[in-house]
Amino acid sequence: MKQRDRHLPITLVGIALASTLATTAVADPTGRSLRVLHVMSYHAGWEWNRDQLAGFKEAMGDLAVEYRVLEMDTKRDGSEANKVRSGNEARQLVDAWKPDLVYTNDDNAQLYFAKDYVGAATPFVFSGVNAEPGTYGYTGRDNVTGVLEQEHGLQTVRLLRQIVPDLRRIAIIVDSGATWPGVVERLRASLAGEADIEIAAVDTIHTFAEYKERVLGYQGKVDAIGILGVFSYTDASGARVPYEEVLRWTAENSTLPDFSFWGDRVELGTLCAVRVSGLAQGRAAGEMARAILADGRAPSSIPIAPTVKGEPMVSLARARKLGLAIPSGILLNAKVVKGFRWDS
Amino acid sequence: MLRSVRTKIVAAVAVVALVTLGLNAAVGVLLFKEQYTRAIQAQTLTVGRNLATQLRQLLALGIPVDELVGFDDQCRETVDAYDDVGYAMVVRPDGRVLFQDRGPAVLPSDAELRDGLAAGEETVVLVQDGSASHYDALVPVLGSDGETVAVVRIGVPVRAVTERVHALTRTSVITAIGSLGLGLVVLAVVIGRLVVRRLGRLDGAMRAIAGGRDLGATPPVPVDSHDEIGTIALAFNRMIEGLDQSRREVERYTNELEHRVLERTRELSTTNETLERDIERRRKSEAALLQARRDAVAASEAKSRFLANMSHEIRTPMNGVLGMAQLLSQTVSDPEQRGWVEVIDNSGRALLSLIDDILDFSKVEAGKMTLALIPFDLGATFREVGRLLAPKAAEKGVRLIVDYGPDVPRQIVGDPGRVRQILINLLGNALKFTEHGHVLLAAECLARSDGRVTLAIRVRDTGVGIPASALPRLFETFSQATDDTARKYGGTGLGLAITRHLVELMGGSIRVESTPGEGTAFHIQLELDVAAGSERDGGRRFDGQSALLVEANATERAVLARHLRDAGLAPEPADSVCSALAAVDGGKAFDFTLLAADLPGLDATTLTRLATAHPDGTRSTVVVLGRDPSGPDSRLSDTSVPLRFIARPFVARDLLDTMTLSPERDARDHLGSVRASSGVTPSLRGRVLVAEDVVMNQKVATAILRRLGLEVDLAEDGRQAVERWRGGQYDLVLMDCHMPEMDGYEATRRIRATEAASGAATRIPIVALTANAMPEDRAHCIQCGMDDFVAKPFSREALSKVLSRWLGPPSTDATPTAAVG
Repeated sequence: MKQRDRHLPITLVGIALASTLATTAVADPTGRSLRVLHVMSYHAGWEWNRDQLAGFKEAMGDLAVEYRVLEMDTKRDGSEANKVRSGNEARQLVDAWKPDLVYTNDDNAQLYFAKDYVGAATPFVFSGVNAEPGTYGYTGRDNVTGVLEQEHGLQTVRLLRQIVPDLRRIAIIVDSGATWPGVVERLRASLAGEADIEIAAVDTIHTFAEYKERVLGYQGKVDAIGILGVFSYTDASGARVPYEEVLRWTAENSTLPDFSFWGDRVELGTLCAVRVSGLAQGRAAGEMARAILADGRAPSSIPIAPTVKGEPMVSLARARKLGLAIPSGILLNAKVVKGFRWDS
Repeated sequence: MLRSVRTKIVAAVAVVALVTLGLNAAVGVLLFKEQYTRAIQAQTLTVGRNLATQLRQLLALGIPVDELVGFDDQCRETVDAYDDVGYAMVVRPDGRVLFQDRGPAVLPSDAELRDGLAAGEETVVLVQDGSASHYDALVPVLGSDGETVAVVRIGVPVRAVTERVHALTRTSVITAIGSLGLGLVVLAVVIGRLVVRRLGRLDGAMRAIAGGRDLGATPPVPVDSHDEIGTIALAFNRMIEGLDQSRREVERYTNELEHRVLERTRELSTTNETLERDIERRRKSEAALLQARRDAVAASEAKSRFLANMSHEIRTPMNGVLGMAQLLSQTVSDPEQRGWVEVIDNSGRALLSLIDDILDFSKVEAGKMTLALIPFDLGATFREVGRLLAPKAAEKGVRLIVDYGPDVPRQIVGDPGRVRQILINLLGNALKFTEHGHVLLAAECLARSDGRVTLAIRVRDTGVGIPASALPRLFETFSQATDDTARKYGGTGLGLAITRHLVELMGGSIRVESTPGEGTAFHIQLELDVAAGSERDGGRRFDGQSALLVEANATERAVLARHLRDAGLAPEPADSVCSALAAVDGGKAFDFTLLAADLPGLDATTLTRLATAHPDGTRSTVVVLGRDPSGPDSRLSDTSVPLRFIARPFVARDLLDTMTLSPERDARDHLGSVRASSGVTPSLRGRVLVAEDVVMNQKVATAILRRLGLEVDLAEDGRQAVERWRGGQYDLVLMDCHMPEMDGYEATRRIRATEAASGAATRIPIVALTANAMPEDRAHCIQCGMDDFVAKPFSREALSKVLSRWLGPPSTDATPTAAVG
């Protein structure tokens, strides 16, 4: 989530309430449209959020639903004040509008809003949450369930292995963010079954220079680098280096294949990733909401779980730069990014 | 097994299902083949398109074709996803192969490629690749500029279709057979449960009942459904219930019946015992009765024998009495003495008649009366009976009329003696009870056919009549109309009983009608055979001729007129001489003039006038109808007119014969009749041997014979008679039948035997002289060789009449009778 935090604008973020009346023809059993309040951590124009809401609505199907969307916009305005304020806005909206169900995205919405409703009457369904459910007190509670966003580490390594068949040793690079130890730990666990893959090193980097040194140092030493945490590097002046710059430098200077777990990394030159699908997250959450609203199931009876199917992505431009031929099967089944974002 | 309903139904369903499934499978396989072929062709194209699409997508990424990595694997993976692909390849326009899989498929030729590339279109064709045929698809892959960068070629063997079709056929057949088998098993089970088992229960129940199971002990067949079998079972149960009820009824009736039978048996036993006792009594009684009957029969026979003997014994002395009385009457000149002799004669004859009746009655009673069946002249019998009783009628002044028309047969078959007896009985009876008027004896032919004739014989009188109360028992034995009758008219009361018996014996019937003070009529109806060759007595015809009939008695006039008409004559009846004269004087001329001799006012002059009144001078033939057999009286003797005379009574045939006699014969008859009327006694000539053991009868016979002018020799028994016959020349033998030493029958047989042995040319007439007066006696005599029969006691006339048949002409020219017939 750090990548999004990095993009939070300082400016005041207005809470945009977008109301979307359901246009589906099927009426709900009580005779009025169901009210669903969607509280997203970022903004509606963000692909990730867009995909999740689209998947949610798709899964709700023909239920007559009246939606209200609250954008916390914490990607563009990552300030604490914005987070607190938008959380309050959301609470006010719940009290005023009295939705039948609240659908929340990503971790900020949980931390600043949803966790306050644990044990309330209104059912809460979440998706795109990276933290453990217990972090927000969701474990074993009656009115909350949802979909965890857990990176597809094993699938990503296997994708890379199809491009680089001789892949054996990989190095992992993270920044100092709190998220990464958990991510790394899950990666290790998922690769435990892959006997011929060795995580040769896990480096926690603080500066851009250190990063460059370490990347160049790995050339010829490992078969690939997992570039995960790239948000908190600082330059010599101590200023934070944008992660786009970090990744561009990598694409232009590293001859080692690399991988990550997020789609925008591939657009910024990372060779491949199996990203978590926003649509899949939204669909899974929508199915849960539908089970609660239409079938009358209790949220506690629906286990909290991650989605299992990721979306492979490869950068054709990076592959060319690395001199790698991506097998035709991958090209046909994965999302292929032909160029670098900075070229477009 | 095949007779089971279940088997039949299952078999039928199996056949239908097999046919249906077979047809379905066949159609299904054909359709499948067609559709699968299309599907295979489409799949071929789809695989090709898929590969082409993938290639296009890869090219769209800007990767040069030659730099594609893993394209083979991608294509193989894609192709592997499809079954039945025989071969697949992606070929560059320059012929380089980007991908080739599955078998040594022949590469497309340049020409093919060119065609495919030039066409830029997808094609699917059937190609022959060696021994295998393939559906071959060509799909061009176009580059971003629209140029063809490659051609995808996919081949699917036709075998894939065939194998699928075969597999489908196998599966269909196996499935069909399996499901059919399963279905049939289920059907068999269902039928077994729904039909066979239930029918079996019905069948079992029926067999049990047929095998003799008690209906009452037969449990009802379960009715577990209300379908047809359930209905049958219900009906069967009701039927069994009904039958059982009927059986119980029958049992009850049977028990009741047995009870009754037992009761009746007991009753019958009792009755039987009683009956046995009764039977024993009856047996004894019957034995006694049988004995009594035997005794009675014996007594009856004894009585008959006694009567026969009595008859014989009485006749024998009566012969003497009557014979002597007759001789006396001719020799005694004193009128008073002559009267006494006449009384003796009458009394004797009455006694004889009585004896005859008693004898007949005895025979009737004993059931021994028999009838002869011989041809005889019934007309002659009528005439004889009439003439026999005519004197008695004349004596009483009663007219006796015989009506025997020409249409009644002459010769019939029957017993002449018994017919004569019937007629004499009835006629005698009628005369006895008639004091004035007439007695009519008539015969009428009622019907005639096939040699048989139905005759009505009537005897009608104008006598005292019979009270109606007496009519029912008139024909009973010893019955007379009233006691007064018996006292006044005498008689035994046997005559009518015998008459009725004789008529019935002849198969006829007799009845009587009577009106007291007016008269009585007896009607007899007889059906008799007509003798062969006999014709009607109407053979003589007088067609176109006329006759003047002068008769005072209206009845007789009517009878005669009818007879004349029947013979073709035109009669002119006249009741008096005056009427006759008036007819003649009126100018009428007659071929015949019939005059009753006793007409008042009839004399020679009148007669002459009647006979000669014909205008052309021809005379009418005159016939005098006389009452006296002796001929016309002297009143008519002075006429010059030739007369023909007929004594009454006569039958029609006699009259018609008389009317046609020749004048010469007529004259001689006339003279004869005149002579006869003068009292000259006719005599015979010859020598007669009389065999008679009774002295008195010898004397009577000798006296009469000698007075007839015959010589007489006597023999006292049969042996003597035979000896005398041998020794002397006799013209005739009078043979008594019952004689000591040798009876008349034996003597006759010996005489005939001697004649036969000697070869004599002549045969001596033997006339039986017997007191056995019955017809069978006469038959016996003829059988023994005798020729004629005279019953004792005999009169001089009777003897003379019989003898005159056998002896030569009399010693004078006179004939015994002047009458014709």
